[in-house]
Amino acid sequence: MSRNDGNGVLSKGDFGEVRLEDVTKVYEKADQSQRVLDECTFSVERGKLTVLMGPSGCGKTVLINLVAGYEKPTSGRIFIDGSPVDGPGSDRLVVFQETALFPWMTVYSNVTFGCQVQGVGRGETKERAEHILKKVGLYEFRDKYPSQLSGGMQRRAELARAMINDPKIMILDEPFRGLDAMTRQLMQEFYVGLFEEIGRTNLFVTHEIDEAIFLADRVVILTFQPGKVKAEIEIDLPRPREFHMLASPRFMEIREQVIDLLYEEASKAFAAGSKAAYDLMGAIVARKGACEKCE
Amino acid sequence: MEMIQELRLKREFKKVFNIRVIRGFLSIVMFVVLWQLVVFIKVPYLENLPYPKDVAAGAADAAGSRTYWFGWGISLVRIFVGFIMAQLIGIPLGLAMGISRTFKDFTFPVFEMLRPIPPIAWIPLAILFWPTRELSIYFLVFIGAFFIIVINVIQGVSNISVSLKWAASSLGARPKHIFWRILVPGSLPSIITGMTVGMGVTWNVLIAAEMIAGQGGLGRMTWEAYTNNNIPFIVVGMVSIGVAGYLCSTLVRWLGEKAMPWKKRF
Amino acid sequence: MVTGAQNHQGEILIKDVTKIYDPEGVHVVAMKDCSFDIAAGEFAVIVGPSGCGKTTLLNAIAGFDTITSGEIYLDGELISSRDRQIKPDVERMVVFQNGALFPWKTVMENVIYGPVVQKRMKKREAVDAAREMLHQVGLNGIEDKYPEELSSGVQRRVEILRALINKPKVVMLDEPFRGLDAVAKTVMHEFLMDIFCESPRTMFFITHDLDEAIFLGSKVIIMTTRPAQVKKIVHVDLPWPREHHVLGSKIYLDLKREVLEAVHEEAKKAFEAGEREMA
Repeated sequence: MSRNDGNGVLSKGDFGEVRLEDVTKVYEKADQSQRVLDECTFSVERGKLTVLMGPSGCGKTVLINLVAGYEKPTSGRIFIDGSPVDGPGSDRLVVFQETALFPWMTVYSNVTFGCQVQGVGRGETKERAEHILKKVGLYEFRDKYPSQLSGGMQRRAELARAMINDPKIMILDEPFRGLDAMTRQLMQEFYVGLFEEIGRTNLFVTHEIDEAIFLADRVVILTFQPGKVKAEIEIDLPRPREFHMLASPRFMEIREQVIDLLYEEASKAFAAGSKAAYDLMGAIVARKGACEKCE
Repeated sequence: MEMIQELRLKREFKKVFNIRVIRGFLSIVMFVVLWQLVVFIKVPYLENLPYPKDVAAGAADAAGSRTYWFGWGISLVRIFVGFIMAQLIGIPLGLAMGISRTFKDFTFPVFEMLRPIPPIAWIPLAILFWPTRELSIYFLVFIGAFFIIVINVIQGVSNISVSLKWAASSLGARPKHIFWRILVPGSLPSIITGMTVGMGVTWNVLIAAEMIAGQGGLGRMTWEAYTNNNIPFIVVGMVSIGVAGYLCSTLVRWLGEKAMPWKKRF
Repeated sequence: MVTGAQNHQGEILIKDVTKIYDPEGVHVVAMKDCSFDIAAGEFAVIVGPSGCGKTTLLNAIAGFDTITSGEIYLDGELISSRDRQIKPDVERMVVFQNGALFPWKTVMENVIYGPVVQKRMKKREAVDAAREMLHQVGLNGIEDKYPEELSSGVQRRVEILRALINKPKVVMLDEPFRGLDAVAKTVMHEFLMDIFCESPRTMFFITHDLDEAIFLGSKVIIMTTRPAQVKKIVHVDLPWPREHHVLGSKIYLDLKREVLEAVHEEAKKAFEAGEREMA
């Protein structure tokens, strides 16, 4: 079952499904033990873009590391298409928050790194590279170093580096963080376009509500420490997604829903006495007594 | 648009008649004038300094003398032999210590015990143990650069962000790939730093070694100018050493820039 | 209805402002013949692609930098032009993106800094005023804390109070809530809304967040890419004080759509222009 993604280079199209069962992660630090994740159970469906959200400290990044295989869960299991995860692998490629492009390699070398270390032939590597670089609009910049590219371009290079290997699952951990809002919006549009074209399974983590709703088929919200699945929201906005949907009534409805859920979790942070607590104190007061002096 | 042209003209003018360049130039002139004055009016403790013009005359003599240029050659050879040996041994050692915890556990304690000893303190032992004087000088230069490069390489390896290693693993890299394509290039900036700092230290060590133990070289020359009471030539020697050191550091820095094209700013 | 400032001050007129940066050779026309007005006590929000345009205006009004040509007037007085540039002053206060609270001073010391240092208030007066402000916005009990003990949301609010205690004519905020997550931002918006309603003064607010822009502003000024000019001005006719349920209303959505389209157009241009520069 292959898909032709437009330019003759085929994607194998057999995308994966991730299943987490009762995943728990505890960190032991000196005399304290920190339970970051607590019996998380959910799936990342085949061919869908699932977004993971939650307040700071809910363990989203830890979850990513577990699915990617960089760390092992304390208990519980993670399956990719039925087989348990056992270390990193090229079937699950990750794009991190901070750029992980190799600074000493050109864009071309970075993008073809996977092919090279896996022994893919020169000819095929070149073909794949050309195709993917053109797709992300970086073909003219293939001989530049990452330091010579803007933030948005670096991110696209990283996406290319991952996608050229046709992974079963793409994992992205706040990939557009740090970009200015304008670039970010354009990157979201760009990425959603790429996703819709191929339909690869995606696990996407973000803080930004608009970004989450714009991209996702489903949003999974985690609770504050320890992280458990609080809610799963189906995003029934039509595809292909377009930027003007950000102003649609349905979008704003879903947005309100998500904010309320996150707000609930943030109040728990307050109850737990974290620094973020003061924000909530203010929120509660402010909501109660909106300006009476204005008419 | 005339505003643009006006700005362009201003810019060209500033390049030549830049107020900051003028200030710099004036400061050097003032320094020389002050120097002349200090000697002329016999400021206590400083009256034996040579006049600027005497130093200039001494420099002219030196430039014409073969011995002087031999001195340069001798010192430079010593620097390069010692320095390069330090890199050839130190870099692989540093990489090994950075990568393998076991290896580091065995080698680091001894290394850390020896590191605090200033290279100059090695001089008597070096002279005693090496068969020739020249070899002992090479050894001293080596010590100067060795500890610095090893420490920097270890630092360099640990500075490599873990996400780069993770990314490489995910992409299918095996240990040999990780070593050659991630760890080595990734520690290059630290290696270059180690080399640059090491180069500065080696000159220090060399001059001291030549003054105490050496035969020939710029340090020896300067010392002999002292024992012969040829004061202008002491200053010439000092300046020569400074220039030589500067040239070597610049060379290392230039090589560093060439080796790391990705570090250029645009 | 909140329209004018309590003493009708803080009217800004921007006329044909041009700014050319000439950093070592490549001269950059950041802004060209930009003109618009801000009425006294108006909450003006500036949005647009990244570039020097918005900051140029902020810097000129605040007194940090000059303009190449054109004029800026504050309440009829010329404060910036080719030949004249007014120096920074408390009447035009700036709140920056990255916290600029003095880390070695407590919250109270930070807030009373301006009036005390300029001898406009005695310390006791200033302390009372500060305490009152903190109480009004629900930030009790943090007087004696140091900035690093507080979350960024609280720090940001303290900074705004520190600016406002000086009763400036104009308050300029350069993406003050950037980087805060959605919940914290909601709190910030309500906070700023309360303060603005309580004692209106001219606001010059730069942001990239369009919901923030429409929620807070009386008008949204959309800038073009370099060279920056005014692309469009959208008047926000929502009643004050704005409540969060307004975000779902039809008027709001129409406004958002309008702003979104204009901004998106310019963002695309900037994106493409930026890449050409890189090549």
